[in-house]
Amino acid sequence: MAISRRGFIKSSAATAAAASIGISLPIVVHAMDFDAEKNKIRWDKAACRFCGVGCSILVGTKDDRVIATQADPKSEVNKGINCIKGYFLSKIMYGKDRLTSPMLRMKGGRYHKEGEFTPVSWDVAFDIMAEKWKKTLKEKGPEAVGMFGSGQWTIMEGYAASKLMKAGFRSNNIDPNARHCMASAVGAFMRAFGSDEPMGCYDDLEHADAFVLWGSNMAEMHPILWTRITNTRLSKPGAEVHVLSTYEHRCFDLGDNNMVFTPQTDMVILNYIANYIIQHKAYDQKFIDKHVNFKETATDIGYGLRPEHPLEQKARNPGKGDMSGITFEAYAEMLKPYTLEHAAELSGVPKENLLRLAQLYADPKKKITSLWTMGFNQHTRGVWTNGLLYNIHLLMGKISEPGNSPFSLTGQPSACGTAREVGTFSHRLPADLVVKNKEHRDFAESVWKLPEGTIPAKPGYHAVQHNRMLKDGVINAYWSMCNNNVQAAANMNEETLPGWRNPDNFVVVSDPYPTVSGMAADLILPTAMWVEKEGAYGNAERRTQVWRQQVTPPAGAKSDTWQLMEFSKRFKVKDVWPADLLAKAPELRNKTLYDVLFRNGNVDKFPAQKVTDDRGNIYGNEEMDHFGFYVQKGLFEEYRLFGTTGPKKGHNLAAYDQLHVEHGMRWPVVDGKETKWRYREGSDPFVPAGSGLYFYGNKDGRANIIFAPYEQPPEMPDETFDMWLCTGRVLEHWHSGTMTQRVPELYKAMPDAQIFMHPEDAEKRGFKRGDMAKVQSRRGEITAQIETRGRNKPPKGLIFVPWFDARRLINKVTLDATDPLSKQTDYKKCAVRVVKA
Amino acid sequence: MKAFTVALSLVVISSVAWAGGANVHSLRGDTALDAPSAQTAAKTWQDGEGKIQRNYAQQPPLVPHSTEDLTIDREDNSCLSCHNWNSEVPGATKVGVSHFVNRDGQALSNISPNRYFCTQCHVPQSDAKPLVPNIFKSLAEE
Repeated sequence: MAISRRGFIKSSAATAAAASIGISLPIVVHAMDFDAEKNKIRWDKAACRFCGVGCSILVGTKDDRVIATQADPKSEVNKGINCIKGYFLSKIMYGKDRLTSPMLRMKGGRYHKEGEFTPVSWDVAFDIMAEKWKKTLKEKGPEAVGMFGSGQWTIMEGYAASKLMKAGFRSNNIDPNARHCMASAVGAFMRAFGSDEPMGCYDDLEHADAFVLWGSNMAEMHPILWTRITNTRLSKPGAEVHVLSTYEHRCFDLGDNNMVFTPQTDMVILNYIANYIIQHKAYDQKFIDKHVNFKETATDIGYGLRPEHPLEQKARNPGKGDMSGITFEAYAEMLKPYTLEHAAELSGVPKENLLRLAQLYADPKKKITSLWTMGFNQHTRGVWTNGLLYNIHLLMGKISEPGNSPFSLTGQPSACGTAREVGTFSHRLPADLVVKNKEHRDFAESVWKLPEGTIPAKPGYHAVQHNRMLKDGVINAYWSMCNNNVQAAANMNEETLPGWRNPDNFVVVSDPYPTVSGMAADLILPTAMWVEKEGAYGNAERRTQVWRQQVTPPAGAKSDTWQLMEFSKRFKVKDVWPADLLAKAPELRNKTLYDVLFRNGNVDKFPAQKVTDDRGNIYGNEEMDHFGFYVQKGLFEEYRLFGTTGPKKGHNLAAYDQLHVEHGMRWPVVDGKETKWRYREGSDPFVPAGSGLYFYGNKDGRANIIFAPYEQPPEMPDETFDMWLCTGRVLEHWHSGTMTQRVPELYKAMPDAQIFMHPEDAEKRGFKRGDMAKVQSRRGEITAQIETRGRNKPPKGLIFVPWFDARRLINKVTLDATDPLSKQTDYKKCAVRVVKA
Repeated sequence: MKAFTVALSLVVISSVAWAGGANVHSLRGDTALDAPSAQTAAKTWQDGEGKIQRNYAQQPPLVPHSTEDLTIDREDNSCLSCHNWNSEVPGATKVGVSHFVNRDGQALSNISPNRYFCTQCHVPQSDAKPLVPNIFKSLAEE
């Protein structure tokens, strides 16, 4: 039902008048308002633009504008519910400051590093970019160019970017912002199971008897999954929720067993639970005998800081991930120091809470789903810690079946679909392949129809290393797409800003809006976003979702795919490949990278067509119109060959045309049928008949229990910097706030990042609620307001500050220490002090 | 009206390094990337000014009052004391019928447990002035 314009004006005037005297009037609807043509909204499905939950939504358009969004009732993920961000998706594309022209720093009519941003044409933008890339490639080679990508790229965008970098420019210096978010999870999956991504799925949330949250504030960060857990907890007799965190947050409102632990001691608690299970002989002996190996990992591995840092110098095995086989008995022995007393002492959690948790895991009758996000992943021992939780599930055989599920949640809408599955990391290729494996490179080159040796074998620089290498002048030509890494990366003052503003470097940012990263760049490219292009995302439960272009992008804004493919036209193969490689394929010499990568018979296989739905609606497709073939389908179908014919089994995606019809499908998809529980016979088609369960990612079909000890974090509070700082997100804003801070309703609900602090800590420092204060570390400071009564209630000695607010950049304060194995930054722990502003 | 912050007037120190120039600004406005954090003005929750117009029928209503003293936990939901379907508090928006259907499509006599935490979809509004205008148009405004 719509209200006519006249009716609306009348009624809003009346409402305003009524509101002023404190009453509300009914809105009058006239019969003429039911005019069918006028009321017609086209509704079509799309994946939500925000988090890794991957809700399906319906986009309502009229006259080439999004006029409403609502939850998709047919979606298995969210069944007709969105979170507050999802309900306001309709507004994210309509911030008034959308960029519509490339902006180049210029002085005196030419590019100048210290110039002012000036509008230029796409031609001029690509001219200067190509000039900088060619100069860098010629003088220093492929290792001096770099690209920073995104778990928000569509699958096809990530694939096109990875191909351009790894096969076109022959540089593995491409890494996504998913490095900040999922790398530790990936590392642990590979070490334990030999294959990335969860074995379970969201159906576990209805099947489980108990939920354990390890460093995950799902109530705010994964709200729709939280509605499903709430549903189970409140409606299923005996269901319980256990919450572990370094501060109290909204999940505690539902928790039956709430635990606030000292940062980093999650490792002690996890080993205590494993020890408890063994001491009480609660483990599943049959499962262990059939499905598990025991290993230990190299210890004292450093903190991923620069090699000259004293902590790296002191480490015995910096960066080492070597594992060696051990016996069950040896494993049991290693766990012995992790007693209840020890765990309680180090973690600060009362013994009865820890015991209750251990007893829950050890109860063979309880189906348990464990969930975690950045608490585990943004951790200097993130890979180990992910692994310590798998250890518990594997000891009990509680895995790969409905309700029994160690489940790694993701933060970005396509961290799984794009960053991980496409392999846009510096060491990866699609479908779990890696650049250092010759067989894997050979396979990728055969799919891409390129000569042997095109893809370099050496992994490139990872995300944190990008900023360091920019600062050191090692990378000189750099392109950042679909993210805001100057705001997102840790230690902005010492690494990010000096790197991006290094006069030797040319930095390009593609974004719909002028971000903090845009301000630090030399060239900003105006970018089409979300449903202004056809795309696909893959969520945390292996679900791939495709959408059609719903509206035309603003004039001048172009999609990432368009930008990547157009830029590739600027390079001849002979300009960028070395002589020995050219000698293997002399016919490619004078072709452009565009010809070789995107006109290879695969990507351009599907001719231009009309995009329609089963209701007769017709949709635009800018890239198809421009390039003359069905770009998204061609990219997706070429990419799909890695899963259907590649060396690693179990990565089969559904066909592109089927994904246009379905509301998402979970891979592996074989014969049009999705998989809910991987490795389980009857659910996963790759499990050999009669084996029941088979971890086929590893050659012997077994998963690894990997012992790892507790090791301290690199920086802890001391006399000078006496508090822990934990950073993270809030419900209303997504990541750096580029989209959500431009939606008035979301902005007004949470306008500023605050310092969440314990009231006694505030009082001790002379602060009242609402006072401005400075948060200072050894690296930088920000100013924000003290909040002692907010949704987050830290214990004494810890503050929480969210990172969405461009006006107070908390990453000036954070430390760029990483897990040395996954190279993922620990944004949850560093030492700060809070002083009067 | 309930103030949740206190106004402070401090001088903004702005450096020129790495600002965008006249043509383009981030949400930091004129404040350079290496300059101190911008000031934040006092903000007050909208309260008692009547319901907030929705942009489209599918949008969850915004909360036209402060929610600071309300609690929702596994025992109690204080929002429902005014907003449940059978509440008699005048002017309080009643929970919609969509909230009485569970995930499996079953109609329930009470609010569905998957709709229990109101704050996941319904948020209050402060008087903060948007950093940049938004040019979204609802059907009613076309």
